[in-house]
Parts: sequence; C-alpha cells; structure tokens
Amino acid sequence: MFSPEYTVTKRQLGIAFVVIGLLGMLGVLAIDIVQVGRQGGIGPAQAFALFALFCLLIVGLTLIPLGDAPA
Amino acid sequence: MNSLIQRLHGGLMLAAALALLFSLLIYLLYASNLMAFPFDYDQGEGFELYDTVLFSQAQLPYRDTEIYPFYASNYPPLYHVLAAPLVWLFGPAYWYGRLLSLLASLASACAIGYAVYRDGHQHRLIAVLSGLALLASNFVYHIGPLFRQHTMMVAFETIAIVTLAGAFPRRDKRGIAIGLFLLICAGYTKQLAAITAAAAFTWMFLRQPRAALRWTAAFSIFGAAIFLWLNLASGGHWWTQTVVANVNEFDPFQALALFVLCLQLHGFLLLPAGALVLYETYCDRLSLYAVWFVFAALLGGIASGTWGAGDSYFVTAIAAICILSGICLSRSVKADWRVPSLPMPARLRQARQAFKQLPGATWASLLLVPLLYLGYARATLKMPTDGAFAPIANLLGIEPNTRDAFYDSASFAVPGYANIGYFLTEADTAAGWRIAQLIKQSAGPVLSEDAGFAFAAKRDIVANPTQLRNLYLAGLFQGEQLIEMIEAQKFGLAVLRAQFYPPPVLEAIGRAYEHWQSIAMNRFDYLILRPRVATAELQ
Repeated sequence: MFSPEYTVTKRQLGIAFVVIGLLGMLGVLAIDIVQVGRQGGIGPAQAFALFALFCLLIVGLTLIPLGDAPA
Repeated sequence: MNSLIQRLHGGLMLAAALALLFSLLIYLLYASNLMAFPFDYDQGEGFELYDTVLFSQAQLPYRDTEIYPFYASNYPPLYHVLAAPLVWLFGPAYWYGRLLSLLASLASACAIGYAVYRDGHQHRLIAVLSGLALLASNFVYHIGPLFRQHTMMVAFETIAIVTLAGAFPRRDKRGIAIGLFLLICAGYTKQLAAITAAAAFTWMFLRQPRAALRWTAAFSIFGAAIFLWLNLASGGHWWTQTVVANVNEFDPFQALALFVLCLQLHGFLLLPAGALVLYETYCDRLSLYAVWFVFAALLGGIASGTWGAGDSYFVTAIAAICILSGICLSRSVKADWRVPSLPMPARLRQARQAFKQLPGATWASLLLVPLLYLGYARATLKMPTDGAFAPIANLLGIEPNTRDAFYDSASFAVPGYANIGYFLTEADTAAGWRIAQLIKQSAGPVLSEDAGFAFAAKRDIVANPTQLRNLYLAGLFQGEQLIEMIEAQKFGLAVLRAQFYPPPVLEAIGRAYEHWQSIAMNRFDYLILRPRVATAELQ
C-alpha cells in the first residue's frame, strides 16, 4: 500500500463497500436502540439511508469477483 | 446508407445546438434583466452584498448578533472578497455580484466543454453541447446570475475536478497543487464544496493511496490554517456563524421531491451519465467524474432537504452529469467500448461478437446522441411567454404555468424548487423605490428582511433574519437587545417578506408595530409595518 505504484483493486473496493454497507445499516438501525423513547420507529430518512446502504452492499458484492483489476 | 445517417446526424446535431443556444439566449436575457434590478430578487442577495461591503472595509461579517446591528453572515468569505474591489469602484450595487455569478457559470460550462473534449475523443460539437447543457438546466438557470456565492463555488469545483482528473494520473505536481488550491477556494466560497473535496480525495486514494495521503495532509494543513485564522480574527464567531448555525432541520420529503424533479429534468443526460458510471465500475477504472457524480448526487441531493437549501444543491451533480454524459456520448459515436472477456456460453459470445460488427450500433449512436440533447432541451425548457417570445411560445404550444407570462418545465409545485426565473418589470423596480422612499421618510434604522431597501435609503443594515432564526433554533441567540429596541419602537419601519425572524422577534414586532401597507414587488407582498404609537398619534 505504501508503494508509489500501489492502486486499490475492484475486490478491495467491493469489500470496503460491503463493510461500509453492513456497518452503516447496523448504525442506522441502532439509532432506535440508542435513542430510547424516540417515536415513530424507522423514519423516512432512516429508510432512505438503509436503501442507499443496501445498494452499496450489493454493488460491493458484485465487485468482489472482479479481482485484481484496478478500481 | 452511411452518408444518409451522417447527414441526418449532422442535421439533428445542428437542431440540438440551436435548441440549447436558445436556452442560453433566455439565460443571458434573464441575467441582464436581473442586473438592471437594484433590489433583492432572491431573498438573501442583499445580505451577501452587505458581506461584500464589510469585506471592502476590511471587516469580517462573523459577529456577535446580540448587539446592534445584530448582523452576522453564515457564508465563507471568498466570493465576497472577490467582489469587494467592485464596491470601491461602484459603491454597493447588485449588478456586479450578479455579473460575477454569471461569468462563473459560463466558466463552469467552458470547463465542462474542455473536459469532454479532452477526455472524450476531441469531439468538438458534443463538448460544446455538454457545456451548453449545464446552462440549460432549470436548476442552474435561476441561481446562475444571482448575487449568491453558490455559482462561484460550482465554478471552482468544476475547474478543480477537471484539473485534477488530468493532473493526478500523470503525477503532475503543479496541476495537482492547482486543483487542490481551487478546491480550497471552493470550500471558502461555500461549505457545500466539502462534498467535492471528499470525492476528489476518495478518487485519489483509489488511484494512488500514498500520494493521496500526502496531498491530503498538505491540503488539510493549508485549509485548517485559514479556518483557524478566521476563527481567531472573528473572536470565535466564524465557528458559530458558519458551522454551528448552519445545521438546520432536514425534510426527507423535500429531498425526495427534488431527487424526482432532478430526474425528470435531467433524465436524458442522466441515462448516458449513469451508463458510463456503471461501465467504469465494472469494465474500466473509475474516473474522477464518476466518483464526483456519485458523491455530489447522493450527498448534495440529501443536503437539499435541509431548511434553506433547495434545488441549487444539485448543481454540482448536474455539472458532473454534463461531463459524464458528454464523454459517454463521444465514446459511443467513436464506438470506443471495451468489454472484458468474462466466462460465458459460446452462443452468447458469438452473439456479442456479431453485435460488435453490426454497423447499426454506430448508426444508432449517431442518431441517439443529438436526440438525447434535443430531449434534454425540451425537458428543461423555460421562457417568457409574452412580448417577442409570444410567437415562439405559440409555436411550441406552451402557456404560462408559473407566475404570469413565464413557462417553466419544472413548474413551481415542488418543495425546495426556487420559485424564480421570471423576468422583472419596471413596475417591480418602481415598487422597490416606493419601499425605499418610505424608509427614507421614517426616523431611525429599519428592520428589513431584504437589505436592498436599506441600501437604497442609505440606512444601516440591521439583522440577518434567516441567520438569527438559525442561531435561535441552535440556542445561540437570545435577542434581548433587539427585542428591547423593537418594543421601544427604535426602528422607523419593519419590512417583512417571509417572516424569517425568530418567533420571539416576530412576536415583539407584532406587539409594537402594525400593518400599514402592502407593496407588491417581484411577485411578493412586502408588508410595511409602522410603530403602533405613531398610528395613535396620527389618529
């Protein structure tokens, strides 16, 4: 990674997307656990964020098979 | 067959160019109409002019709002600093700020054209159409020539991105430094440029992590030094006014409505832009334009749902769409697509090979390219429907659908869509001078939601209503002195347009002042309120 020629690959980008997607979705859902007493369950902003993070996760999964091709 | 297709392509391209040039003509007429108008067209322009005046006097607009004149700005300084020398030359006026913004939008269009030409097979006409497409966008049209810093930010962003996209892969240090400097300029023009900076660093990290981290460190130190200096010089008000007071409530329905509207208006170009992003994601390397587009569309789009934001928050994404679509269409005309050899059944491989050899694919591209630009020109059509434009409006079969004598394909029905763009009349200017005259005849300072009247009457600019509202909601504005002054009727008049002041201030105005008259200007009813005691004395 510290070589000047090093570049991020599609696989690494895919893994990063999957991790961000998963952690992000957990984080969005955790808002309701942390803020106990918050009304209304999953709100529209949360739903939107969940959808976007789910899409990111799917894109990540499809990038992983592309291997060492540069991102 | 080939020459027939080529001729058809040429004819359609000419038609697309004419359609987008017509859009440019409307934009320039609108800009010149605005430049002749000496009052606020969009609420807030006058306060940006006041920021410019303060900078021209070597004063910072990041101040304590608890003491007279209760004024502070929530915007970074660069746009106002650039306009400040014009205050020395011409005094406080709107036209030069609007001219600067117009020039900035033209600079963005030129940068887009250059990027498409450089990175899209030197196809001149598509490059020109891509630049024109930016100026045709409804979102760009109405904010483009305003005395607001947004257009200048987009210009810095666009030129920075185009510079970095060329310089970083070549490890051209001078080019990278210029690109990053322009990103800092964008950030110190408006905070929203942080999204573009994030996109640029993400892309640089994907390409060369080591170089990206080194450049990020240098960039961060330089940017942070300016930030600290501003905060120290303003006694900490820079942080309060430009960062803390800028956190506003979020309306997801406004953001969603604007996403849908953006899709409706720009769908014809979004299609090729999205196709190129997909292609780069799976079949090629991601370009800076693709990363920029994703960041700007997603984060800028979400930010458009915050209070005080709106469709202008999509303008950066639209610049990215214009570049990506231009490159995609240029590559399509040149049939420059590489699909990696993936494991697939023999029949599918044969079918793909046969398709690649079909001349029809190139012919389809030749016809599709101008048709997309023509469709985009129609989707973004907006124009006056009276006077010299009446015959054209009749020919196109359009009728006024917003304010009188103006057609906007976006209509004014979407929350967050700026309901402006129509042309001003002499009656609007006369109404502005009438309000200014009332202020001149009153005693003492005035509370006005538009600063333009106070400028015209040569009175102090007192309070920035939206900023006071933001500070109040953040628990950072008590307003005791302002409320005392209102209750003691120290202000000769109060001029309200949208009642943006914090609720306690509005309540105090309601107690101490009463409605005197309403004056319509720029399709808004300005409420002129005078002290209640004065009314009793008159009777």
